[in-house]
Amino acid sequence: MVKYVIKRILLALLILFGVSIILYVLIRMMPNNYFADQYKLTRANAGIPQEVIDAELTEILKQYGLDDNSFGGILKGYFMWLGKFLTGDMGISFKYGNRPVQDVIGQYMWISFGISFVALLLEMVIAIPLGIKCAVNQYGKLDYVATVLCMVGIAFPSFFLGNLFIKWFAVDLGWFETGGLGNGFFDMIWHLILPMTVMVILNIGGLMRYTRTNTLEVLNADYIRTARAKGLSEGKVVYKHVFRNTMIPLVTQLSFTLPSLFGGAMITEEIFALPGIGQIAYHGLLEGDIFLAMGYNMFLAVLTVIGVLLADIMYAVVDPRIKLGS
Amino acid sequence: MKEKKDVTLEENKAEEVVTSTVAPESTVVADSAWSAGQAEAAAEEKDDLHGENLTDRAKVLSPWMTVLKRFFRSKLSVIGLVTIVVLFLFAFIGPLCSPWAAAGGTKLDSNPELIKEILSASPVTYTVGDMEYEALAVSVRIPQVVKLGDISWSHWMGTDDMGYDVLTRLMYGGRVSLTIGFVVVIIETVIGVIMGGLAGYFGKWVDNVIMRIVDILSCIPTLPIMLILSVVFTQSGLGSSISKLYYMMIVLCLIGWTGTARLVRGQILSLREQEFMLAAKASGLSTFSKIFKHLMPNVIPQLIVSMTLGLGSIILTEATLGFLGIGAPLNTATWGNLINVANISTYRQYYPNLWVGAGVCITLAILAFNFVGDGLRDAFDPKMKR
Repeated sequence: MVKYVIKRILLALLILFGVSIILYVLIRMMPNNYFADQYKLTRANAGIPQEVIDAELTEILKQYGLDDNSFGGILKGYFMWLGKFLTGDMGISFKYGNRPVQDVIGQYMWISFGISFVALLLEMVIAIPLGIKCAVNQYGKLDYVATVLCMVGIAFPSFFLGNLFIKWFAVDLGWFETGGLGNGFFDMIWHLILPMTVMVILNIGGLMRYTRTNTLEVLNADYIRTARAKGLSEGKVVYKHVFRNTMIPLVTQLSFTLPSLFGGAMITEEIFALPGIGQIAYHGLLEGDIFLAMGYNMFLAVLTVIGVLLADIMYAVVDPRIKLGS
Repeated sequence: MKEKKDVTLEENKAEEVVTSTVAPESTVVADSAWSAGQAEAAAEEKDDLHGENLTDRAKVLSPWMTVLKRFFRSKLSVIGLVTIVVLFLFAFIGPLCSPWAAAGGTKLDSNPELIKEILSASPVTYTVGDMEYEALAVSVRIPQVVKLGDISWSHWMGTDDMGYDVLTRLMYGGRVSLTIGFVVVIIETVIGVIMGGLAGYFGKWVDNVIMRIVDILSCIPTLPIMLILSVVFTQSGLGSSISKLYYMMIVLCLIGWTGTARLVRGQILSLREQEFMLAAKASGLSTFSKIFKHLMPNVIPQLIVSMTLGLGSIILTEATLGFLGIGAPLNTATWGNLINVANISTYRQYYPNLWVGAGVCITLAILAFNFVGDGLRDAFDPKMKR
């Protein structure tokens, strides 16, 4: 087990190395660089001749390994970035107050996490009991209605649903706010109702269907027949024997939500003007804040790798029949 | 009690479906009408008594026919299929019926030929100095471009901020959005099948290398990468032509084949241990025909399902890119680009006719492909208990 985990972690490092090269090259291919653009603008406004600005800029960019856009130059810049990254320095975000990237991510990440986490809890509270109920009454009315509604929820694009909600509930009816976080705790909840509803509607379908499929599988298992044969009441069979075994695959499935939990929902945050990490990174990317873009994408990649690894380990932890490393 | 009975009915169906490739006709009839089936069964017993051979009346359904039959039995899959057909007709036949259709929905509200329309012409004479001139006084109608026009008889969904007819643009948008899904999914599947097939069949270092590439590509966050590439492509002068969208879709193919590769590899790993592969090996078949004639056909059901579900997700990706304004150039009609105006709060609030239609089309398309994909999955699965 320990050997397997160590092997997987080493493999994960190799994967992240590959990912970081691809990301770095792509980001360096971007024509705009927030720092250079701003620097040129301010210096030109100060009346300094173009050649002087260019010379200064090359000098400064050299410190970050960003001066040379040839292949060799990008490679050199990459290893400079990698060296710093390995010591925990992700560079400086020029767009967000010249602060280290890890500070920027650390600050805005928690806003995203808070929203996603509450949304995830709501999803679980609704989807899991509903999924079990649907599976127990398979092909019943509730099952049909819930399945169709879930598919509709999955099919909605977040931006369409978000904009519809803003138009109907925030502006036409004036019940909720169109966006932002507001001031104070209760105001914040008020502001977050719409974006959370959107997130729940979009994601609940997948979770509910997953629960339903698993429950159906568990219901066919031998131990459920045994439980019934023992003469247990239907309620006890479902809520004790079925429920517990349904939770096994669900626990592992939750590991895969790690990237979306911490990485933010870019589009939903953008529509509702929530200053989460998704929105921050979106604007940083568009305006060429190179180190923030690099840091955010690597952050997501690391979360994905950890999520997959966690899921594999969880499989073995919750289900002793699975042997890791075979 | 009634429920119990239903359950037994359903189970009966399932058994028949599994065996229906060799099932006698009478049993196949039984699943569509229970009572009729009972009557048939009784008749069958009688026939047996008279010594008639049962197999004479057997109707053999090919596996594909079985799948089709089971697919069309599910209401949701039929609804999905009909919706897809309607959307395709809307996108490809629709513009032919629209008076505003011309070259990709770019024809303006004003009909250029109308500019030449002469309302009245009368000869006039006038003198300048000593000379007398004859001329024709012409009054013409120069139609105004109705921007952001209301819903009316000539524009069923109004006109947009440039004066284009929204309904016509919606139809043309469907052409791009629907076809792009197919192209991307087919390319993705081809790459995925080849890579997954190689990895699964050869194993060892081939498997290792390919699966590490798959791992790396599946760790790359799609949306940020598309954002970056959009900026790169725009800079390299592709910003104003539709080919930018094609390049973005190629990139999407290049990072999107990993799911298919995983699926194919997993299937092949389990299939290649089975007896029929040993038989193929014993008969000395070439590697090529072993992979593509004996292994692949067994993966096709899963591939078709994942392709159908993939279609929906590509449509969603295109729409997302369009909404963020990083997909096709904004003057090109695609569903994503049409919903892009919802970014501007005035349009979002006061001109819902501009973007709600596109949103509904996107949602319907994704929903329909998901219904069909689910229906196919159930139809292909012989263990499926219905």
